[in-house]
Amino acid sequence: MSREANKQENKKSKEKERSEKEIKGITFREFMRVSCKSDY
Amino acid sequence: MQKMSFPLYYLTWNVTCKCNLRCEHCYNALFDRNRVEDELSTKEGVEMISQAKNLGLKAILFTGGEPLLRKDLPSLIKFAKDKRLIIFLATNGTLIDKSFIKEFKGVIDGINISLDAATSKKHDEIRGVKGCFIKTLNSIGTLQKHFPISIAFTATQKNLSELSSVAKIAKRYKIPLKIKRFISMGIGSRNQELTLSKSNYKILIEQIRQLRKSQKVLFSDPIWLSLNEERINSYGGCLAGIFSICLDFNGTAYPCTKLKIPLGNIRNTSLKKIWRKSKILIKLRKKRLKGKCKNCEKRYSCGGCRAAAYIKTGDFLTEDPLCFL
Repeated sequence: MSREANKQENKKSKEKERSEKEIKGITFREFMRVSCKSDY
Repeated sequence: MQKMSFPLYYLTWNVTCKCNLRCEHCYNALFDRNRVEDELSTKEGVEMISQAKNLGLKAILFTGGEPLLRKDLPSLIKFAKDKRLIIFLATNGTLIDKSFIKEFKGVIDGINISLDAATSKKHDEIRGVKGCFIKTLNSIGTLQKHFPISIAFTATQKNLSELSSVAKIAKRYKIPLKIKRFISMGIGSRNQELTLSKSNYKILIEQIRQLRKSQKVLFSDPIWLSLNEERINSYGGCLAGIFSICLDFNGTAYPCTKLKIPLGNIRNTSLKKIWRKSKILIKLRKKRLKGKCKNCEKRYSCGGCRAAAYIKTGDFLTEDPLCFL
């Protein structure tokens, strides 16, 4: 992998990590609305 | 994300594997569907509900097999109700009588009754027992006066053409129609040809869009849910093992009724330990998905059906085979 490609790959991975830190949990009310159990 | 808590909001309990029908798409793996010897006892069931409550449980679905074949069902449901849980029941609707209404009115919060076709000939053929269509239809008529009920339709290659007629029945009774995607497992794995093709899945989606213009139709499928959901930074879609779990009649825990990867058995491991320590559940929560799902921006809010991925490839982290996005 070239240096530039490597740099891009690292950047992507850091961005992914950062966005994953922003993932939020959900309340039960949200669970019943947005999950595959929401039909009940 | 590591510090995020994962309450166990929803538990599906297959209270028994006994069933009076012989459905060709059943997710139950046991061929001897009359066996009872491994079933959790009433005491074990009650203890399990208490453990789940301590993990954050809010709602419980009693299903089977046919849950009404379990004699202690009233005491299990009443115990769960006393724990202030929301109670759901999934039934084939063939065993409903007056005593059911007396016993459960005001206790059960929602009932799903399976109906896979709009004629006796086709429904009975799918369900493997003659006469069950009429019984189910009669139960729908009786129950809708006393409970919030809905018709549950499992969409397969074989019955997709029945959807609009089943929708008319739901409309006639003024009740919601809830659609599920067939996953080829258990007895259903003998009938893999029932699995929806990608093109028929798209047709299903279009039919649902049309039906929703004039009646309440719900489709509990991650891909469908993601089409109607803009959020990308919180969990949604397939939440198997993330905020919900399935417990089989014999105490074995799985991420979902249809994702039958054993996580442990509550007879020898506490539900708390299974819920908090299972490596499979940790992987599901981390969403290290593969294929098309790997870099999809909706891998948290959709995630694809993990059961469908597992059945197709043997790897529960691969992409949902029906994703067309």
